[in-house]
Amino acid sequence: MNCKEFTHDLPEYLDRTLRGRRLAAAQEHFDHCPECRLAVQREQAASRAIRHALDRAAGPLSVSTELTEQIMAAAASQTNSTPTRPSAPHAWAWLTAHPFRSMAAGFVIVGALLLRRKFSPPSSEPSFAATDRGSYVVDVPFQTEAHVFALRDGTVVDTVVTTVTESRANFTSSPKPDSSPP
Amino acid sequence: MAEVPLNPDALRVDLAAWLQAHGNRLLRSAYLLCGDATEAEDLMQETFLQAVKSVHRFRGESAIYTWLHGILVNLNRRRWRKQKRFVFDEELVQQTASPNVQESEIDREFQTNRLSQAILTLSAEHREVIVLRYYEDLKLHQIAAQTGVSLGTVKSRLHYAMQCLEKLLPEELNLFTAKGTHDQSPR
Repeated sequence: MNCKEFTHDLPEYLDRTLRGRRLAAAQEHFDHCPECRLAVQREQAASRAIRHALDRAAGPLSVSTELTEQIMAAAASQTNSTPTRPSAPHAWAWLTAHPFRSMAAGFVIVGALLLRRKFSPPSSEPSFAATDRGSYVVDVPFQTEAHVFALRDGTVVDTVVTTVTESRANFTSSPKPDSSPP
Repeated sequence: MAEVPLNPDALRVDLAAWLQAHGNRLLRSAYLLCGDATEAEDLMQETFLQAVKSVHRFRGESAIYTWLHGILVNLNRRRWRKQKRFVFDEELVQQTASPNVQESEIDREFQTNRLSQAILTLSAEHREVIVLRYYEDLKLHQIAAQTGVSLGTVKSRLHYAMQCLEKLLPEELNLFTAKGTHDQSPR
């Protein structure tokens, strides 16, 4: 270890957090290098001076009775107005604490949605069924109004606009004589 | 693992105990971190309110003071980021460092005052690492854990903070001479 490496490791050396070979190398360098021993002494003197200066700068400050009361009052009103244990952070904490379970649950949910989409009939297309009494039943999900063409022998004989309730419209065709094509 | 009561009444009692046990030390640390006594009191209040709000997250894995101080450091960082108050610059160094200090003036008291003045004029980041290191007596890895940065970043900040102090202090008061701890050439 040279002086530059020792200087780099000096904070950990002083912290006594160096371990193993690095500690042995630092100790050996310290024992044999008078310049670095002096550097350690200066560092320790600087630390003492800074500690003393910080103690002196902050020394006279203390928590006043007013500040204590202010903090207690603010904390009490906060405790009364907000729930102590919010639910959202708790759920988030569970998710972050169990990443694999969260991922598995996510895959299951996405898979179920894909399967449902694959096997369920297309819901946006209206289905159309004629009854034998001239009335029609139209399935038009997610719409409030249906524009229905009544057919007879392949030609449009009537158009009806009807209001849809509960995704299903029942109506009876009433063809007008003049609406039939020639 | 210590269980922290969530009952508001019990919490109030704890808060009073916390204030009595750690209030002064936290307030002093807050002052050294932010450099203003009034701001330090605000910071203290915010710290305790935040502690009450997030008491359910405290698992008792660290000492209460360490936990409270961690909140204080975070709030202070949020505050300085908001205010963008990075005081340190070269002009300030020129103003603060007076080149002709008489030998007779250099006594311990004067040196201490100059040093504390110099520390309070450091940038927020450099002041933070100095306060955590020398006032809170934290080891480098503990500073890294509390500030959420890497060990290398802490070492680098500490190094530059000391360099700034070297610049801020007149040569006569300088504890960190050019042949000191930072400019060793390889053997």
